[in-house]
Amino acid sequence: MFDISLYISLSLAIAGILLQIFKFNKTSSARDKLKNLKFNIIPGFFNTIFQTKLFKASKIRWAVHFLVFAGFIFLLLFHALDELISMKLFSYYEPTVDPYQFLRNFAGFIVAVGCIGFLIKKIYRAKSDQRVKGEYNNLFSIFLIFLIICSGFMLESSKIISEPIFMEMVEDYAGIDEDSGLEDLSVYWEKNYNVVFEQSYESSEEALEEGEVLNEDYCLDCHSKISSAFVSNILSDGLKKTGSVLNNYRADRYLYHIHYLLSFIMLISLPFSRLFHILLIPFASLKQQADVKTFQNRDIVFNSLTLAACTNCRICSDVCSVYPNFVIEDNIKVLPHYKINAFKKIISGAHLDVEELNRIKISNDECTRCNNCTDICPSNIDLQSLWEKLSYTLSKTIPETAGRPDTMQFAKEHDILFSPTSFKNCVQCTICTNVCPVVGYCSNSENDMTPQQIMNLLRLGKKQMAAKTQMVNNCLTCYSCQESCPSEIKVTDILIELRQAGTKC
Amino acid sequence: MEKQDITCDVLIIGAGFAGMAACARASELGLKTIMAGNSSQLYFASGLFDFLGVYPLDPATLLTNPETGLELLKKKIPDHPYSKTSLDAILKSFDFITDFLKSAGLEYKPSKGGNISVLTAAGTFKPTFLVPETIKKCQMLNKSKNLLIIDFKGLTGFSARQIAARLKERHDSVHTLSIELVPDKTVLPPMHIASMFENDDFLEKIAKKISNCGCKADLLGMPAVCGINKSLDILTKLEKMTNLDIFEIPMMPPSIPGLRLKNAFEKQLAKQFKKKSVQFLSQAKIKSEAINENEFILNAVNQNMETRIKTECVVLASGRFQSGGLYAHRKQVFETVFNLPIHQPEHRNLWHNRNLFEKQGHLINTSGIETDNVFRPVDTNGSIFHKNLYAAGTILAHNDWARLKSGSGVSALSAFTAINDFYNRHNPSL
Repeated sequence: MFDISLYISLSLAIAGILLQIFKFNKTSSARDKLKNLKFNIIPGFFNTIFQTKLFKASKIRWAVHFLVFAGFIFLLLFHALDELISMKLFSYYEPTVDPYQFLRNFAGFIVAVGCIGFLIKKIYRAKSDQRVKGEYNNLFSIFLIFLIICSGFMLESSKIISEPIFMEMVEDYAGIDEDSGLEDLSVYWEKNYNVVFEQSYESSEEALEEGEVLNEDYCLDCHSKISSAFVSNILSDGLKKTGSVLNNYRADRYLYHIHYLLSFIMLISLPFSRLFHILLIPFASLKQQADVKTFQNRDIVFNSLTLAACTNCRICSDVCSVYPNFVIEDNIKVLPHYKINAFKKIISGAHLDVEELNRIKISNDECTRCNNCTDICPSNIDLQSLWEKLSYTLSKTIPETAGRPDTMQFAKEHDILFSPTSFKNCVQCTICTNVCPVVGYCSNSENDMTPQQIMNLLRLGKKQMAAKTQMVNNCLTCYSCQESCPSEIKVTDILIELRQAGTKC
Repeated sequence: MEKQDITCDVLIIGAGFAGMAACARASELGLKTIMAGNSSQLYFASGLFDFLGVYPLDPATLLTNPETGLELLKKKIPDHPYSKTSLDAILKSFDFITDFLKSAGLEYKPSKGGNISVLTAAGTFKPTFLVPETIKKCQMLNKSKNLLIIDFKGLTGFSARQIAARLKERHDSVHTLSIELVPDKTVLPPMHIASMFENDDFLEKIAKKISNCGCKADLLGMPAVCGINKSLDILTKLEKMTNLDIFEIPMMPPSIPGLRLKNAFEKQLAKQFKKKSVQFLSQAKIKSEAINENEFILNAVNQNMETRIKTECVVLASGRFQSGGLYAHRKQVFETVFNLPIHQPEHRNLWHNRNLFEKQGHLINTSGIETDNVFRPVDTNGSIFHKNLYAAGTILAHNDWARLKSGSGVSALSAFTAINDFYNRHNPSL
């Protein structure tokens, strides 16, 4: 049963990995794949094992990530795969013997601490960071790991308090019965190993001494002191009260199944969740990145498979040079992390309407190619090339005739807002602001923008932003500005059009 | 769209300084005048009247007396508007303008012949010929004076500290004071400050702040925002309240002295409007329809009116590129109303020097309309385009007015001469 489910999940995971690789890679042309075979071995190795780039980007995030990473790798190799690794390496290996028992607890503990760190950060950011406000997705993987660790500790502590297991072990290894001191051993184990017995024995000094002798004879080889399993020990203390009930229902068996089930779910979800980055970061890290020289020679072309290494950490957006554009315009599409997800959607064949694609394209054009994102990316994804690729892909996917679908219809009706001749002559001389009675009357807070600033927004193509300003609504339509404009711009008419257009334009 | 037909003696295209000067002269002579254009260009005027501030350009020589430069200019640039006429004519045209403005209540300090050095908002000194009375006390500035410069928080483009820093090289005692006018405003447009100055209570508050600042000063420099109308009266009031001599420092556009100029012109011309000798067509786009031997027919379109104008004489004072008098096409420069021949470099590559700060300036700045001695446009052969078509102001060729600091002089001279010439031929009996 166990083996069957293991093989099923394993094959599902492998199939998933192949599917994902195929999906991500199908957009790379043959030329891309060939050119991409340049490697950067040493930094890539260090980045894979120690996440050096994440360390450079943020010490705290690195610390939290490394807790989970190191702890989980240890558990995977020496606990989950103990039959393959631990037992062959260490001849005296027993899961209940120190240092293995202690190390297992310690690893589980640091993974749990890391997971809590992750969850706190995620929830905090979802509440405070305006870029990801209310986004509680991407919690699946980290939550799953946390559950696996918790179920592991629960399993261990339920085994500790289990009388049935104690009896089985006594039968198998000690071969003593009630005549030859089972009672003494039980008393000793109840006191020192936290086992919960249904019928309580009297714990006399003599019984304990007897029990200790028996323990040394039969048990001590395979059971270190329970205190080294420091997490499970504390947990089992807590479970003591309900111990007899749990023992009756054999809670350890249920927990055993839950623990394995969760592990299998994790194995299956590996290619379909953020966990996929575990497999792809080594690939992305080892691959050489585009620098100025290779970029100019077009030596390296973006391999979209490396995109699967993205963990959505958003560090790229923190260092992005067009971050001020986002702050001013509230257009999240200019930020790298949004564009990565958009590109993922595009190559996965999700249907995005032309308008959306066009907006992404326009936002992508704001990129200054400063290379900050590529430099910092902890997954070592060649983002600089990705933006080129995105630009290229979008220019292929958006039909040329599409133009600006959101504005075309409107432009015909409201010529004055969309014809560049309306405000191209503006020299920003501030005369409109000077003659405006509203500017003179209102305080700064009531008037966010002055007429001349709105004209400038329009010149920059920021119509939506212009339409949102207070000035547009506060305008008295006295036409002072329009009459005074030396460049004969129809300032008032434009303000009226903006007001009528609302945020539609 | 409504349509109307009007007939007049003179149509003036452009309502900048040259257009205003021409209109003033024509209406004074009793000619029936129409002025088409946008007077808002005067917001860009500093309010100072330049004659000739710098000549020769390389090495740049600031002139204390424009006459010395004028003699050299006439020799070196025979095509310059100044070279077509005498010193006397130039001075006469200035006199005409100042008299006209004086009757509108805007007083300019009479010239003693030489240039005046005026402190600018950049802390530099600029040579100019005539200054408004509110600026003239700038001349009192010398080493023995304690100077206080004030600025207002929120008034962008004017910093007392900046000016003081530049002045420290020549003056030992320069104090600065920054006054907050409205607490929660970060940007205060100069026109709004200027209109605050027209309130007596406000003046008293400012005077108190200046008196309480604790600087020993006997001369006060302030940004040119001392009221829009009756600025001299307001300045005198402030002088009495503070016991200081005060002068204004001209600022970046939109400039209040320019606005005062615009208001004065408009006020005085409006009196003529009542007599129906002057009519305005504001913000109208002019197109030439037909030209006969004795009359022009033009079409003026503004927002709600299409006007057909029959006129005997046209003065083209439409300015350069920014105001739309000239249009820079990809290959050459065009004049926009009559498509007159433009003196210009042969090729676009020659428009600008490779060095932006080239002292001699750029060839495109000397392009424009070439004229005869009374400012009638001529073609390359030297024959006039029409006997009653004149050009005035910055549109004239060989006239790098911004570098020579000769803008007002050339505009006043060409407008004054053109109207006089037309009037003399129009009424030969006089």
